[in-house]
Amino acid sequence: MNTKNNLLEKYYNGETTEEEERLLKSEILALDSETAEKDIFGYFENEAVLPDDLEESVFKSIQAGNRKERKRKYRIYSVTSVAASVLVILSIFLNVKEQKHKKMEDNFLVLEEALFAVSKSIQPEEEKDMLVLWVDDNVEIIIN
Amino acid sequence: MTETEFKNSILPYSRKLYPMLKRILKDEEETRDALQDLMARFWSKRMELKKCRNQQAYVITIAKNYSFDLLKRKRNISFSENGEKQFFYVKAEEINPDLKEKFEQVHKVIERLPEKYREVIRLRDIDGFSYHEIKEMTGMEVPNIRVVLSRARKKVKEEVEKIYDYEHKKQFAGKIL
Repeated sequence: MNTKNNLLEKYYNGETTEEEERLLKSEILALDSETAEKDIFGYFENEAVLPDDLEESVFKSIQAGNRKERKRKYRIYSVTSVAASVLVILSIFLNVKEQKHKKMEDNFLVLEEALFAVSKSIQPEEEKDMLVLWVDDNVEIIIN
Repeated sequence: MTETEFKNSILPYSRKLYPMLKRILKDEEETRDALQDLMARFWSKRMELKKCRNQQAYVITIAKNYSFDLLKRKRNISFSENGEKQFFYVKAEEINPDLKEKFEQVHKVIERLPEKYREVIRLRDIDGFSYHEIKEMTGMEVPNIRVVLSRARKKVKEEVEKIYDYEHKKQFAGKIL
């Protein structure tokens, strides 16, 4: 009884250790008589009621969360790898197509050039620019 | 940090953090989710935690910031819901109505304390945080915490005794009438 009162005094002075507080609270709560402390400590205890399996369930959920994360990561990897391979194949395909196109264009260009050269050679030589100063029946004055 | 080390040094904080988070969220399911979320954060930081010299400060600081965020979000959501007045903590079916009534009175008395007093007494007497943990949580120095705690405890007792006298008289008056 004496220690309890001592502890209570220490408690109200903010001097009790955690251990002492646990002891004091369990002693007070075990009493039959109704005191303010009994209600107050009862309230504290009631506020701090924990689910039975708290720590265990929390830890399990962490582990489950980890697994889910890893799984999700794999899924993300697989999605990205599929996307990447599609891209690679597509780009190769497009590249080949484009190269084919380019080759044809090149051929056409060469042919065009050849034709142009031929047509140029067939043409009569163009007359050079000249400055005609005077023309009449007898005299032509031309500067070449 | 190994699984065992985590289970021994970090996971036990659940017991103190659960009541604290529940005060903010006022719902068991939500509290459990929040605690799991918080613990998952610690787990993902377990390598840093192992290197950390002041593990307790680290854990408490993260928990504190986390609960501030919750509080902010909760305030934004349930501002109009009048959540403060509702009394979620007590499982009504399991506790006799008299006791429930008394706990509600104590709850209200604590609610009416100045903020610092309220915070310190809850952290210590409900959650069971050590003085050093409360120091990390509130930024107050330990001697100051003791003073505030002492005043808060005395004030709660005083107020609760007032209510019981008052109720006693009321009952008595009821009998006479």
